[in-house]
Parts: sequence; C-alpha cells; structure tokens
Amino acid sequence: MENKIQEVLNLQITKENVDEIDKKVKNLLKDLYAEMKTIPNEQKREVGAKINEFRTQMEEKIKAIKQSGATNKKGSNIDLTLSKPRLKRGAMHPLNKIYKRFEDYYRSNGYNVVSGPEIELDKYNCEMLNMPPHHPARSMQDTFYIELPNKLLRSHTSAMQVRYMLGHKPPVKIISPGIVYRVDELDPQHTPMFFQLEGLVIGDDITLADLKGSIMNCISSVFGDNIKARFVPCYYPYTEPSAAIDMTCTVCGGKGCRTCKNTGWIRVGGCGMVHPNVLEGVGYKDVQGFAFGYGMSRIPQLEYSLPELRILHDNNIKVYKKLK
Amino acid sequence: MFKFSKNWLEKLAKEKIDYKDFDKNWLDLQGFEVATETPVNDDVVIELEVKANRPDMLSHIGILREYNVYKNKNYLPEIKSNLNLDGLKGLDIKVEVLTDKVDNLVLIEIRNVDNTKETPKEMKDYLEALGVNSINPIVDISNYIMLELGQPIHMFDLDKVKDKLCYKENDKVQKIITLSGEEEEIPTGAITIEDSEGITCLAGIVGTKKVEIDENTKNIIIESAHFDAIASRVASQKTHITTLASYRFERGVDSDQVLNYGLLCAEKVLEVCGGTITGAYTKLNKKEKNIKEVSVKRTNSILGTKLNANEIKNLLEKYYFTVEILNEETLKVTCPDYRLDLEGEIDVIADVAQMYGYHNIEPTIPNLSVQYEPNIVMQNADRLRDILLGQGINECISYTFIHKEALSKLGINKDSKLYGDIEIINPLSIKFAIMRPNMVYSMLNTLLFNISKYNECEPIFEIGTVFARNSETDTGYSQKQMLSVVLNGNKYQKGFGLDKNIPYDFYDIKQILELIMEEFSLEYELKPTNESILEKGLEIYIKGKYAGLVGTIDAGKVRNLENGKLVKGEVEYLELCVDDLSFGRTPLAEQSKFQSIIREYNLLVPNGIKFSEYSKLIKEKSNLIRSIEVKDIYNGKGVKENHSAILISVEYNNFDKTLVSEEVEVIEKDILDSLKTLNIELKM
Repeated sequence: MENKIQEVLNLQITKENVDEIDKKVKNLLKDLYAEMKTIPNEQKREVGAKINEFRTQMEEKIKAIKQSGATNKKGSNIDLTLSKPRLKRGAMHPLNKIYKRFEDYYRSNGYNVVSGPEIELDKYNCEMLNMPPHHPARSMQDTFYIELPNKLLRSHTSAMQVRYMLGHKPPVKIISPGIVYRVDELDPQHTPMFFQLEGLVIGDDITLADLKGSIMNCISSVFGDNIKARFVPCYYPYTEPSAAIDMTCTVCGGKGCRTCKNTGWIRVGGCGMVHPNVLEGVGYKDVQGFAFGYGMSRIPQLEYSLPELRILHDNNIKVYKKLK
Repeated sequence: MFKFSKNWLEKLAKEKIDYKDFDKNWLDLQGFEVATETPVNDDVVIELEVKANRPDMLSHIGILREYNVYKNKNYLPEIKSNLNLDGLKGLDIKVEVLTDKVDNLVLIEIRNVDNTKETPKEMKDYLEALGVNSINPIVDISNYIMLELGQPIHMFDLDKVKDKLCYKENDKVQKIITLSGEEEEIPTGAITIEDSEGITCLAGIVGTKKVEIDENTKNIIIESAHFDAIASRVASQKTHITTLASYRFERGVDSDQVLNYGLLCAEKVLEVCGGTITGAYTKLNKKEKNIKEVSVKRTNSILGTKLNANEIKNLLEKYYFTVEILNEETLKVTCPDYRLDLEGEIDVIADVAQMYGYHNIEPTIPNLSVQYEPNIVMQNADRLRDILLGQGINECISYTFIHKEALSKLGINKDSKLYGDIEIINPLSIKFAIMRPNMVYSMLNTLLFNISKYNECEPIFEIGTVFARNSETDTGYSQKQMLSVVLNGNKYQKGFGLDKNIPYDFYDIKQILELIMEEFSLEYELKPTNESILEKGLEIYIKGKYAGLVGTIDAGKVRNLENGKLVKGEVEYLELCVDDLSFGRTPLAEQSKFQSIIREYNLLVPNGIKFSEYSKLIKEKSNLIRSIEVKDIYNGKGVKENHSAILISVEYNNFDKTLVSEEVEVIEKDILDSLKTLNIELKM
C-alpha cells in the first residue's frame, strides 16, 4: 500500500496530465478505503491518518495546477500584454495648463478676471502708468507700433488695469491675464509675444505686507509647500516700493543648478505698491493697493524643463502631448 | 547696464574687498541685478543691471556708496578736488549759451599739455578691463573720470576751435563727421556746440572729428556740463547714437558736481600730461536741496510695519539721508544730492522699506472682498476648450501677427469677411507683419509644421485673438476671441476590424460645430458662402449675426503655402466667434413611458435634394415621429447615377400607449408616398 502511495506522490503533475492524475488518485483512494476494511482495528487509526494525509496533499497539488491554468483557459489565444493604439485625448496647451493653476488660486480668493484690448493707446500702456513721453523706463519695454505715435501692441496687461480703474470705483481685486508684445528678437529664449498674468488689489489699507503674503501664498499653493517666494527690491515706474518676485528653483529645489545660475532662485515676476501718480491719474483718492505680474511663459519652461521658450508657439502637437 | 572693476572699487574704498562680497547676493538684494561676472587678468568685471531710476549707480563712486551701506560704514564716500578757479581769467575764445537746456557748464582751459605721454598703466588697465580702448592720455582721462564719478567729460583741442563755442538748439538739419568717423545727420532741436565754422559737438552725445584731441594736441578745453535729460534722450533717439556719455545724460547726472568733477579731471590732466590752467568759464546754478516730509503713519500704512520715528530716521540715515524728527508723526528728510529719483514721499518710503529689508516684513493676507463680475468671453473659451479636448482635439497658441503676404497667398481679398490690413510699423520680419484678421493662416501654418515633421497632424484647435478696424472704439481697432478647428488626415486608422482608413470629411467638422451649439443650447443658422478660401462650406449666423464659417479649405490655397504640397486629403476648417456665444438652456422635454419603435429606411435621393427638405416632409407626416437620423451615406456601386443612397432611422413613439407596428406601417406608407413627390424612393 505504501508503495502505491509513494508511486503516485512521485508523479510529475502538469497541466496536460492533471485530469488523468486526478482520476488515478481517486481510484487509488477508492482501493485504499476498500483495503482499510481488511486492516486490523488497532492499525486502522495510523493507516487512516496516512491515507488522509496523502489525500490532502494530492488534492492541493491538483487544485494548484488547475487554478494556474484557469486564467488561460478561456480565450487562451489572446495576448493580454499588447495594447491597441492609444485613446485619442486632446492636449491642453502648456501655457494654459500652468495658467489655469494660477487662475484657480485667484478665483477662489475672490479675484475677478478681466481682459482687455491688445492694440492699446500709449495713454493706457505708458502715460497713465507714470511713464510720460521720454521717460527712460520706456526703453525697458520696447514696443511694437500700429500707428505712430500712440497706438501700439500692449507691452503689459497693466494697460487693462488702468482701463478697469477708470471704469470702476474702488475696492478693486482683479487679475488681468493675456498676451503681451515686446520687440525681442525671436531666439531660443525670447519670443516677441508672450503670456502675462497681472493682478491689482486696491482698498483702504492694503499694504506691502499684504502683497508679500499674497504672493508667497500663491506660489506655495500653486507649486507646493516646498516652493517659496521671496522679494528683492526692484524698480517699476508704476509701483513704489517695487519688488522682483523670485521663487525657489523648481529644477533643483533651491540647491543651485544651471537653470538658476546656482542661486537657487528663479525670477518669475515683479510687483509693488501702486504709485500714487497712477492712483491720482485714475481719480482714486484715499486708497492704496498693490499690483503684481508674472511672466507666464517662463513658468511652463521651468515646470516642463523646456530647452527653448519658443517651443511654446511652435505648436508641435507630439511635444505638447508629452507635457503632463 | 554698467560694468565696474573690482580693483578700481578697491582703489576707491582703500581696502581689499572680499570677492565673496560680489557674490550675486548683496547687490542683488539691494535691487541691483548682477548680470555677469567675468575675471579679466587679476581683476573681476561685474556687469550690473542698473534700473532707469538709479543713474547714480552708473559710476564706481556710486557702487562704493552702496558698498559702504552694505558694510555699515556710516559715511558717504566723496572725492573733492584741491583745485579752484579763483583769480583765473576767462577763455581766449568766446562762450555763448543760447539755450536753457544747459544749466551748468564748466570749461577749463589748459595750455602746454604733452599728449604724447603714455597713459598711466593702472588707468589703462582699468579702462581696458571695462572694454574701453585706450586712445591717448587726455581722452583716456575723460573716460576715466566718467566711469569713476559718473560725470561725462568732453575735451576740445583749443587750437582747432574757431573763435567761439556756442551752445544752442540746432535750427537746421546738417551733417557732421563724428569722432568714430561716421557721417551723421543732426536733427533740429538737438543741443549742439558750434564754433564760427559749424558744429563741433552734439552736446552730451558725441564730438566731431574737427576738434578731436590727438597726440599733437597742445592746448585743450575740458568741458564738464549738465545737459537736459529729455533733450539728450530725444537727440540720441533721433540720431540713433548711443554713447557712454549720452547713456548717462539721458538718465540724469548730478548737476551739483559739474564743477568739482571738472576740476578733478583738470587735476588728472596736469598730473599726467603737465600744462597750466590758463582760463575758465563757469555757469553754475546750485540746485535746491531735495527736502521731503515723511509721515510715520503713512510709512507704516504702506509697508504694513510698526516703525516709530526714530527707527525710520536710523534706517534713512544709513542710506545717506539727513533726517530731523519734527514730531512723533513727521520727519523732515533731506535727500542725498546724487539721488535724482526721489520725487515724492513715496520714494523715500520705498527706501525705508529697502533699508528695513523686505525679508523682515511679516507677510499678511489682504482682507478685502469685491463683488463678483463674470468674464463671459473667458467662460465661453473655457467651456469650448473642455468640449474640444474631450473630443481628442489638441490646443495650440500661435503668434497673433502673421506673414505680410499671408492673405494674398490664401486669396483673401477686400470682399472677404476674413480680410484685414492692420500692419505693424516696426515688425520683427515680414513673417510677423500683420495683425491677423482671421485664424486660417495660423491654423494652416500649425498644420503644415506638424505634417512637415511627422507626415500627419492630429486634430488641432486654437482660441485666439483676431483684429479688425473699428471706428467706434477709442483705439480705432477692435478684437475678438475666435475659435478655430482644423481636421486633416484619418479619423479612423484601418485595423482592429476596420478594413480601410476613414478620412475626415466635411461632416466631421460640421459635427463639431453641432456639438458646440448643442452644448451651449444655441439656435443658429447655416447659409451658403462665397468665401473663396473654402472649396465647400457654410457661414454660421447666430441671432442673425455672422459668427464664423465651417467647410473644407480649397486645396489649391493650401498648396500656395510653404510645405503646402505635403498635405494629403481634405483640410476641414471651422472658425467661430467666441464672443458671440452665450449659454442657452434646454429644459428636459416630456419623457415617454412607452417603448419606441425604430425603423430604418434606405432612401435613394436624387442629388440636389437636401436632407433639411425631406426630413421636414417626413416629420410633418405624424406627431408620433420623435427623431430622424442619418445613419449612412453611400454613392458607390449599385446606386443610380446622380443619386445617393441615404440610410435614415426614424423613431416613433406614442406618449399615451405602446405603439404597435400596424400603426407605424400606416405612417410609413404615408411618408414613402409623399417622398415620391421629391423623387425619393426606397432603395431595393
């Protein structure tokens, strides 16, 4: 009897012979139980245990083999590892992907979103922003002209802020996103058209501290807590005091790398307290506030490690699809 | 931009300056951006971005002032000449100042100089490190004084000046040969310095060959002057001449130092080339002290700080202001003479902030809420973007200026709704010359760019600005946000059960329009078009107003463009004005509780009979017809000539009871009979 058990235990079970062996085991068990009846009573306990052990062992083995084959059983001729061509999904433009993150922040903080004309009057683009004719700061933003001397392509969306203030009484809490234009040669790092997000907040007692808090909060909300913003003194004719906005280099996390010229910081915009001349020009009295602007084209360049800024207007669809 | 030398600065500071002090940060944190640092021999040249408000930083003494602040040295570095002009006679030539644009003028006559000497090595090294060529000692000294102290100096060869120096505004356009040997035209209004023969110098900008200092020069006149900044700027812009001198004059030079710096220059000339001061001319107007009252309350209210009068005083004094506390609330502040940017109280407050340190200001969040104002155009754009991305169409953003010949290449002329002629006066190139009046060119450009790279282009859309003339706006122009969509190539690739590629056709682009209009719940009308850019297509009208077009682009027009021959198959195009869209609403119609019966009919329709006609006819036959849809169009083999086989499906439903097929069959017969009036029959 023991020999028969051992013989079956030694059989190699495969997917092909599993049914055959199953049958063999069942037949053997039948024989064994029949044999049991002939065994003297005092041995029955010991032999019964042996048979039971054999039975459990074999059943497990057979079950395991059968289950491993089960997944392949139905439709075993299908290769589940291959894929059909990818589902068609439209890619949002990388500029909008980043911009929408900022817009979400500002909308949820109660800012209105305003837009305005791209062909502007010098009055709104420069003069009312404390840049009278021949102001040296005008050369900071070389401008495309549509008609001389005073019709041009706006060089910043601040022009819209002047229009808005002229049409609205304070308080003001807006962002003005949009395309702006500056005479920059088209080279890998410059495009004559780019995307800007500016904002303006005016009330009775808005302070530089409020400005700092808003910017720091925005940058950390949009990019994560480990990305900080800092203020560096700067000059803009339409704000005083003014600051440049630096944020932690997202490429190296602030440790210093080639992108941030080893400073750990990347300049992403400028801001300041609205100059009293600007407020006076639009007829605002006894109020104060801040204005800020981000260069929206620079940020996707960092976020997606784009080697060249002009990729943003090449409209290479396969590249856009890769930017997540 | 201003380049300064570390060695030169050390000479002025009379101490070694640790190279680390030039680590980007200290100047940067003071608001002066370090653009580059370049080692030159044993020196380091630092290029600094100097903003338009701080011309006082365009000299080494200016940098030293900031360095002393940074090092808490508490004194203003100044350099004073030991010379004076007391007891000197006037110049041998006549001096006339006929313009009020020259308010300070010092001319010093030095005779018997030896200009054949070598420029001192130290001076030469400094100049050359900063990229200024050494020419001869006298010219080098004038450059040296300007770069050290910020005062541009001009030198005349006295023996070449005829009779007089007359400072005046130029009254007729005339030509000069400048020191660099270029012929330049001098516009009227520019400040010039003439002798009895003509212009010797374009004041504050560039001198002429005529009175040039050379190695044979024996007798000179040093000119240290203050010229009006705006006049200098206008003349420099008109002549397109920018020199180190004009760069400084047009930004502003400290007029109070004209005499002192002129004398320092004379001192250097005597030291290097010998000679004697033999005469002088001075016209000096002392500028008034710049005194501001600064309110403690306003300072804190702007900055969000809690500084007291004494703290503000200390901060300002550190930055060379003289401060008197009038009372707890008010300070009387005297600004440093060299600071030309401090026009109002706010400018002083900005300096308080800078000295206090932006990093020390505790951030807060503004407590301000305003009334919500929706931005309908942007909301429309957002909704459109969602719809199109959901359809697997990809978003582009192109330049809004297009090629000068874009419209003529596309055959879009004045009669077209797509025409426009807004030109940029100073475009980068002819590729970016016209403000686009439509999206066709931009979209085709993107299509062709992608095809040239990958032989295909996935579906694309752009929501962008188009421009038009408009006499009703204050600018004379108006703009619209325009959606455009381009489909080209295969909608479905063969394989996985499909035995051939299915290319995009007109109905695919029309489907997109229909989807958009359905999502916005907008009523619209489609009318025939004459636009030659379309091979076939329709114009879109919303509430009777033209809103765009939809169709297949004329293949010939595409081939006119660069790479246009690479395009295979039809180019489907949609252009729709985003501004004209508005959210409509479609209330839920009554829903039937009973099952519908759907029947399909394969109709043989003579070409020319439109779906809108026969579907209307069918619909009129029974109020049990809920919908009529086209399932397929076929005009291949087995279809009668000049006919198409159109498979339509009609849904029948009765709201009151379950329909039985006998009822449908009665209506069916009626439909088929009346279709015969249009020569439409069932295809067998």
